[in-house]
Amino acid sequence: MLFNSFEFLFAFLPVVCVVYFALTRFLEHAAGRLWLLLASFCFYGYWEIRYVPLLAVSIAFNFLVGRRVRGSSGWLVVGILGNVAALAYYKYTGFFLTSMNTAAGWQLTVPAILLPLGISFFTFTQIAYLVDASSEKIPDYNFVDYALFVSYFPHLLAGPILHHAQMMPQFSNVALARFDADRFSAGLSLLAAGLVKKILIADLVAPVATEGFRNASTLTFGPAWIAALAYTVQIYFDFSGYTDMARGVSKMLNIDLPINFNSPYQARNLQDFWQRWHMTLSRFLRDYVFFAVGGARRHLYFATIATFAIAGLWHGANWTFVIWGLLNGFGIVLVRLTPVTLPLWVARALTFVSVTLLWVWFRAATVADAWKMWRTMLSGVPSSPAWQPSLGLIAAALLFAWFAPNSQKLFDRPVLAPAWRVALGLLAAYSIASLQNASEFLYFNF
Amino acid sequence: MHPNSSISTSSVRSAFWLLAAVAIPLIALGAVNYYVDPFQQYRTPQKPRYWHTLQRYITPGFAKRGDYSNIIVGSSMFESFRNSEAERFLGGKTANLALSAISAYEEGLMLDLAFRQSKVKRAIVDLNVNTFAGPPDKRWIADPLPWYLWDSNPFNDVRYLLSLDTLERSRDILQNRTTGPAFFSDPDIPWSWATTIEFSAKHVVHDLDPANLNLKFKQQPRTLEEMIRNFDVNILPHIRKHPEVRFDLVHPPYTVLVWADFQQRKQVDVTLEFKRQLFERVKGLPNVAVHDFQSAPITEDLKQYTDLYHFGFSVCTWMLEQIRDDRFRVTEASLPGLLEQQRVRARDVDPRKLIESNR
Repeated sequence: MLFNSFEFLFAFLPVVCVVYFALTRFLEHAAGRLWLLLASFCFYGYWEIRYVPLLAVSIAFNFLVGRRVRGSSGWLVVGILGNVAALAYYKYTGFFLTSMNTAAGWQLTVPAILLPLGISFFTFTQIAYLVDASSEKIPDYNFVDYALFVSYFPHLLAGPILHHAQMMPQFSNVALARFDADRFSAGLSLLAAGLVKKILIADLVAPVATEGFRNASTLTFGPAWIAALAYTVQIYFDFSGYTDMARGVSKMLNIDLPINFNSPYQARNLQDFWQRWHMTLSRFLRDYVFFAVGGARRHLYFATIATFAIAGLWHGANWTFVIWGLLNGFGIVLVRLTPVTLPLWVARALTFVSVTLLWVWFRAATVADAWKMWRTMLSGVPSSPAWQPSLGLIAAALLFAWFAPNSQKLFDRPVLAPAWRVALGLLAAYSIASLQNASEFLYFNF
Repeated sequence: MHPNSSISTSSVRSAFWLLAAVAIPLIALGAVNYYVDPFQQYRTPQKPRYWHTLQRYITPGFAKRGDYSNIIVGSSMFESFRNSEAERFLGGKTANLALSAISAYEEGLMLDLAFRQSKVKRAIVDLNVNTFAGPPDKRWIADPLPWYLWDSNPFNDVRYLLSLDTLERSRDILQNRTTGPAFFSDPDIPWSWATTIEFSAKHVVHDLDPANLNLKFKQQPRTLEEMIRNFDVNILPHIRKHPEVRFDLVHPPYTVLVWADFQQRKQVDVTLEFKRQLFERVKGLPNVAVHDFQSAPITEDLKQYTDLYHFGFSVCTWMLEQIRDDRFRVTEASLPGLLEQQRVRARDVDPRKLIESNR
């Protein structure tokens, strides 16, 4: 189930909220947590019931290992290997076998394995838990709280990546289980803002990016830049919009999720960008990968590049993602090696152009497509593309991303000014009314 | 007084007005779309209007209204059966629920929808072999099926009612902008293309490559296993579940050239074995009649057709008459001879000669 769906907005969310606050008001706090756990599994199972046992087994496995891992490096290895093996099987089997076939000329059968939604998120969340549990940083959690922490539906499919230290105290805090009008109102505003970002910006520019990248190998200079810019807008408003919705929904339930985006396209350099983009992933990579590969000691540059290569692979099973990760790693090393102070607007512009160029590798279907598109963008003959309405939307969205305050500053507040309320409400209504399109069937002569 | 109580009151007010700003326009949108009902889910409009491009949105509405006792479910070949003619020959009000490029999966869904809505007494079901190709959940149209209109759940109609796309159609209707090549307005034949197309032997053979008859139509290869599974999964359960309904399963009268195409693509054995196994499955069921028109003399009369597969009104009317009288009904005794006749036909028909003589 997606947040931007009728099922979620008109059925799931209202029922979850009403029952949760009724249970916590008239019964025990524990009943509310159990209800949220049940709702989270229903939310996950609505997409594909087959993978509910996978989520359950993953939670049980990590909880049990977590109980034994304290001071035991053996159990820690078992735990991490178990998580990585599941992720490797579901996400990377096809990639690995295809790469082997290509490299060695083999004919290995590549099985069609459906990727369980959110597996990257709940795997990373639990690896962090095991690592912390092994170093005795955490108390013993009860199973329901742990299972809820991993499966909590607002974050389950697309993050933010949660840290147990942020979430567990909130789950066990009886005071937070009560309805809070201020936080409910702020959450509602965030949810509405996220819907608008996702549906009225990201989804509207998506066809431009899709069409452009579909023809990546034949684009000329102008259309190539438009496709790249369209994707730059799409991915930001899509992902940050979804995060706003996740944070909003959770806030309505009186539980705070961490901030994941902080105006990333206003970053001064690539390092700053990664402190503003998908912040919970950056934090995870810093704490559990970068330090693990020696980043805190001698091999700073190697650790940076290796960490970003892993980040690339985490995003998707394709060489384009690995190259994207490596390029980001090299970019950050370059920033560290050349501490030049540029005027702010120049630094921001340079960073934005770099990020846009890097997204090409993230979005292109193949390495060849990405390379061709880069060559066109960097060495093609400048030309002005034909005007199309979507260019106006891309330009407006970029102006918003460059200069406007971000969602948490604008909407994460209990009381909105009357004009904002009405405007946001009308835009959200327009977004909901745009959820379902009738696609015309053009085969009408037979 | 709690120090935060004023903030809480303000936040409740803020949330209320935000929700109101969302809800009021959506309620208005839903009301307009319900009133106009452009896809005709709730009522038959006074002024008939059918957009062929939105066939899969509108036809479920025909099925849902339930004021019929006969249904016709099939592919584009069956779109030109007139409801009035079906009523004349079969008795009882008829709903033609045929869809262009229908798959067996969609045939099954349509049967299910009709049986849930109405007291159907008779169902004419197209056994076009191409409909039965592929896996049992195969659809031939890439666009997603508007499944929320293909069920009886009124709650998921919010997708239909709370849609700006629906509103666009509502606006067109309110402004009387109902024109275009895909727009039809005859409730007797809502989806028939036969009024605007040429029927002649010349039209049938033009563009045909005698060495590769499938070049124009690009029909997918079929396997017996897939075809039988399609029948078992999508059609047979309805037949078993509704013994009170008379099922007329129809092998439609393709032109004789289709058999030459099957021969070229090595699909003759698959086709004939499908027919045999299908008959084996239903022969003991008293509510089923299988009608096979594929050896009928009319299949050689190319002027009745517009291409290899599609025939016109007169053939539709003729078929209804034959179905009423069971003249092409397959029996256990007639089946072997029929299949052998079709095998010989596939072997002997000379597409080059037929095409040249009609050009």
